[in-house]
Amino acid sequence: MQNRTEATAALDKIVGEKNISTAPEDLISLSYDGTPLLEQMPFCTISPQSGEEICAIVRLANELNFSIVPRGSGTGLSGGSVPAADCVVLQMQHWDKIIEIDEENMTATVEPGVITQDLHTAVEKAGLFYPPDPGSMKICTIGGNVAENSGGLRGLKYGVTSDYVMGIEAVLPDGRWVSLGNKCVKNVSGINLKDLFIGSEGILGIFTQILLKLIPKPQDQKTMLAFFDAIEDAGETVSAIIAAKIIPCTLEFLDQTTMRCVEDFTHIGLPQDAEALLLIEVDGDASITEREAQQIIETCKKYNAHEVKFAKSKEEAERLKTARRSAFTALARLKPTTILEDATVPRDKVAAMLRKIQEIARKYDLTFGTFGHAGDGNLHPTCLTDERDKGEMKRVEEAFEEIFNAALAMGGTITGEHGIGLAKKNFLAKSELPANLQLMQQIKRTLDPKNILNPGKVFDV
Amino acid sequence: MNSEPTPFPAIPDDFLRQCMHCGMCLPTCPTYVLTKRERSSPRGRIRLIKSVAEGKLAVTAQFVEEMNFCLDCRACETACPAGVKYGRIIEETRYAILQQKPVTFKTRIFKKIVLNSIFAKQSRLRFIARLIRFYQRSGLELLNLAFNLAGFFSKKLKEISPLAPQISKKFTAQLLPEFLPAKGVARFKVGLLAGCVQDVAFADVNVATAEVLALNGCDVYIPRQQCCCGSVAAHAGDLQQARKQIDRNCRVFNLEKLDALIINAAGCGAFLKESHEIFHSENSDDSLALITAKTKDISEFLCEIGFRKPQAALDIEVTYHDACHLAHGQKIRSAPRQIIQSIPGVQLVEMPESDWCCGSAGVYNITHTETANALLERKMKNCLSTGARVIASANTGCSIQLAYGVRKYKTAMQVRHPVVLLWQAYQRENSKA
Ligand SMILES: Cc1cc2nc3c(=O)[nH]c(=O)nc-3n(C[C@H](O)[C@H](O)[C@H](O)COP(=O)(O)OP(=O)(O)OC[C@H]3O[C@@H](n4cnc5c(N)ncnc54)[C@H](O)[C@@H]3O)c2cc1C
Ligand code: SF4
Ligand code: SF4
Repeated sequence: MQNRTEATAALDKIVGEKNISTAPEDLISLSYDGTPLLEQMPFCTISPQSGEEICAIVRLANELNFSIVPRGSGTGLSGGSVPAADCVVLQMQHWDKIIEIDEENMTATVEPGVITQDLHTAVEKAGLFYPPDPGSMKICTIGGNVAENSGGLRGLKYGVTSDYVMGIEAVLPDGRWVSLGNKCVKNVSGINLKDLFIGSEGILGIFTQILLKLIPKPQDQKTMLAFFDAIEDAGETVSAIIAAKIIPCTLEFLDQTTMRCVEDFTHIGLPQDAEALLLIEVDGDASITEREAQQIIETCKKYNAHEVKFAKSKEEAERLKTARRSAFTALARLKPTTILEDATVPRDKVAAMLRKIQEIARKYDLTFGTFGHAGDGNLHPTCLTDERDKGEMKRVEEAFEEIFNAALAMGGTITGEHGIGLAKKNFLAKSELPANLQLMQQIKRTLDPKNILNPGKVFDV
Repeated sequence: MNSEPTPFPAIPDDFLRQCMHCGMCLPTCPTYVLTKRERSSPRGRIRLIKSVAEGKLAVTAQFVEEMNFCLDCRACETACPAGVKYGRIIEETRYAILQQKPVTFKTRIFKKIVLNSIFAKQSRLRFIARLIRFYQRSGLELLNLAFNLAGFFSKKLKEISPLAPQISKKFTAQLLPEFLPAKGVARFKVGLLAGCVQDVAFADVNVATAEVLALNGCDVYIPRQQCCCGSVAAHAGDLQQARKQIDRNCRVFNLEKLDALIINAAGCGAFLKESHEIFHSENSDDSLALITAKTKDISEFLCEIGFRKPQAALDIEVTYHDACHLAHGQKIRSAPRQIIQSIPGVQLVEMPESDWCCGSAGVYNITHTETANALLERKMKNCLSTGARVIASANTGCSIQLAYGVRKYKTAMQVRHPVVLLWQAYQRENSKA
C-alpha cells in the first residue's frame, strides 16, 4: 500500500485517537495468534466502538486499498487472525456485552467479543445451557468460535458452534450491514445465508452481533476415566461405545506423552505408565446417566481397560476436564516448538487413525503427543519439535502431509475444528473437489471484489 | 536478527521460547482483564521482551512502562500449562532496564538513602518508622512537610500517605528476645526473619510467629543484627546490595546450623526461595544455595512439622486472601487454610477470586495508584461478599493494602495473619485453664 499515513489519519478520524495505535509495542503484540511459526505485523490496529464505525472503516479500506483482519482473542490455531501484509487489525475483544438472555425463547444475543465461558456462566445461572466448549473457552470469543465453527469437549452429543447459531449480524466487505436469521426456530425466508458466515474465518464479513440457541441445562453428569495399556484398545473402545448406541457428552482421548505433560502441570494423579486414557462424561436425567455409565464401564473393561474410575464430585469432574483442556499447551513443556494438527476421520476409524499416527511418527523419527475429541473422530496429533532444527522441520512437514493423506483416504478431513486459515491453505485443494473450491472463491470474489477482508486466508482468489 | 549484542543477556532464549502463545494465561492476568490490551497481557509482554532480546524492538519508554505496569503477581505462571517461568522473565527484564537506564540524580539519591542505607540496616528503618508513628499519632503533617521541603516525591507522597501502614506501637526487638527457647522438648532450631516492613508495621505477626513456633517445639533465633531479606534492593535493580544482605543474614543467623529460616511475609519468602536462580548461581554450596534450601514460609513449616491443633475456640468467620507471592510464587495454598481451619469455632468462608491480586504488588500501589485502587475495589467486593469478619492474609504488602481497603470502604473487617489467629487460639487455652 502506498500511503499508510493517509489511511492511519483517516482511520483516526473514524475511531478517535484513543482507539487506534501504530505503536510498535501494540503492533508486535498483535502479530500472532495461537498458531506456531506464523507472525506478521500490521501497520495499524484499531478498536471500533460501533457498527457504523466498522462500516466506515470497511468503505475506507476499499477506497484506500488496505486490508482488514478481524481479531477476537487470538487463540486461533490456523492463523486466522494473524495479520496479512499491509493490514489493519480490527480488535473485537472489547465487544463483550451479553445483550440479552431470553429465557422464554431460550436464546442469547451477544456481542462477538463475549468470552465463551462468560456466556456459559451467565446462561447457566438461568438454568440454561450453551454446549460448545472449546479447550480455549476461558478466553476465546464467540465471534472467533462462529468464524471457526469451533467444536469442544461436548461436541459428540451436542454438536458444534454452527448447531447453535440462529442469527448473525455482520458488516460485509463492501460496507453493507446485514442481519441474517432471527429467534424463529423455523425460518425459510430465502436462501439460508446465515450459514454461509459460520466457519467463514473472517473473510466474508465482520460479525457485530450473534444470536445463539440455548437448551435446558442437563440435570446430572457422570464423569469417568478409563486407562488402557494399548492405544488401539482405547480407540476400539470409542467405536464400540458409539456402536452400542450410547452418545456420551464427552469422549476424549489422551496418549501417554500428553498424559505425562498434563500430570506435570496439574498434579491430579494421572498414572505415568498407562498408554492411553479416555475421559468420558454422560449427562442427562440421573436414571439415564446411571445406566449409560454402567454400560460404558463394561465396554471399557471388555476392551481391556485396566482401570475405570468415577469422578467423586462435581469439583473433581471439573478438575479433570480443565486438565484435559490444558493438554495442548502442556505438551509445550517438552520441546521449544509444538505443532498441532486437526485431522478428523469418521468415528469408526479412530483406532486405525491412531495406529497410523504412531506408524508415521516412527517412520519420520519424530516425537508426537496425541490427544483429542476421539468421539468426534477429531484427533490432534501434536509434533514436539524445535523450529531451529531445519532437518527435523523438513521431516515434520512430510509427516503431516502423510497424516493428512491418511485421514483423507479414510474419508476424513484435514481440519475438524481449527479451520484452514494460513496454516492449511496449501492442503485445501487436496481435500476439496475443484468445483467446491471454485464455488468458495466465487463467493469470496462476489462479496469482496477488492479482497480487503482477511486476504490470503483459506485460499487465494 | 540483529547482530548487535542483545540487551537482555540474562534471559535464556529457552525461557522465552517456552511460551507457545496459546493465550490460556490471559483471563488470569489482572492488567489484561482491566485493559483488554494484548500488550498488557503475559503473552504480549513475553513477545515484546523476545522482540527486544532479538533486536527487533528498542527499549522504548512504552516498553518500559508496559514492564512496570505488570504487577509481577505471577497469576499467569500458575495458569500456564507450558510452565513458562514468567516471574523470572519479567524480573530479569526489569533488572536489565534498570541497568541500562541512565541514572538520574533523583534515583541515585533514592538508592543511596533508601536502599543502601535504610533497608540495609534495620535500625535505620526503625528510626524512620518511629518518625512515621509520631506523624500518625500526632496528626502533624510533619513528614509530609519534611519531604516537601526536600522536594523529593512530594506530589506522590500526598497521594499515597493514606496508604501508609499503621506503625506498630513496639517493634519486634522490643517485644521479642534474641532467643526464644522451645516450650517443652526442643525438636527444631529455626531462625525468624523479622522482615523490614513487617518488623515496624506488623510486629505482632512476628511475636505470634515466634510464640507459635516455640509452642510447637522450636528454639527460635531472632538475632538483632539481621537485615531486610534483600528483595527491596533487588527489585530496585541493585543485585549487589541484595547479595550483601543475603550473605549477612546467612552469617548472623548462622544458617547452616538451623533447620529452617522462617518467613511470615510471602514476598520475602518467594525472593529467598528463588535467590539461587535470581543470581544465576551455579554454585551448590554458597550462601544462595543455603538460603534457598532453608527458607520456609511459616504456614508451610507448621504443616510440615504437624503443628498442634489449638484446644480453645475463636468464634469467628474468616475469609482467606491468597497472597500472589505465596499462591503463585511459592505454590502454597492449602497450608494457611489448614492453619485457619484447625482453630475450633473458626469458619473459613472462601471468597471469589481469592488469588486475584489485591493491588499491593510491592510498591505498585505507589507507582500505579489508579490500577491498584481498581484492584483493591474488586478485592474488597469479594471480601465483603463472604460476610466474614476477618480477612486473613499472609503477606505484609497485602495486609497493608487490605487494611487500607478496610478504612477506605469503611467496613468493620479486620486483617489478620493466619499465624496471629493461631496464636490467639493458643493464648485462649491458657486463659481458660
Ligand atoms: C489451548 C487451545 C485449545 C483450543 N481448543 C479448541 C477446541 O477444543 N475446539 C476448537 O474448535 N478450537 C480450539 N482452539 C482454537 C481456537 O480457540 C478457536 O478457533 C477459537 O474459536 C478462536 O477464537 P478467538 O476469539 O481466539 O479468535 P481469533 O483467533 O482471534 O480469530 C479466529 C478467526 O475468527 C475471525 N474473527 C474473530 N472475530 C471475528 C468477528 N467479530 N467477525 C468476523 N470474524 C472474526 C478472525 O479473523 C479469525 O479468522 C483452541 C486453541 C487453543 C490455544
Ligand atoms: S505464557 Fe503460557 S499460557 Fe500464556 S500464552 Fe505463553 S504458553 Fe500460553
Ligand atoms: S505477573 Fe500478573 S500482571 Fe504480570 S503478566 Fe502475569 S498475570 Fe499479568
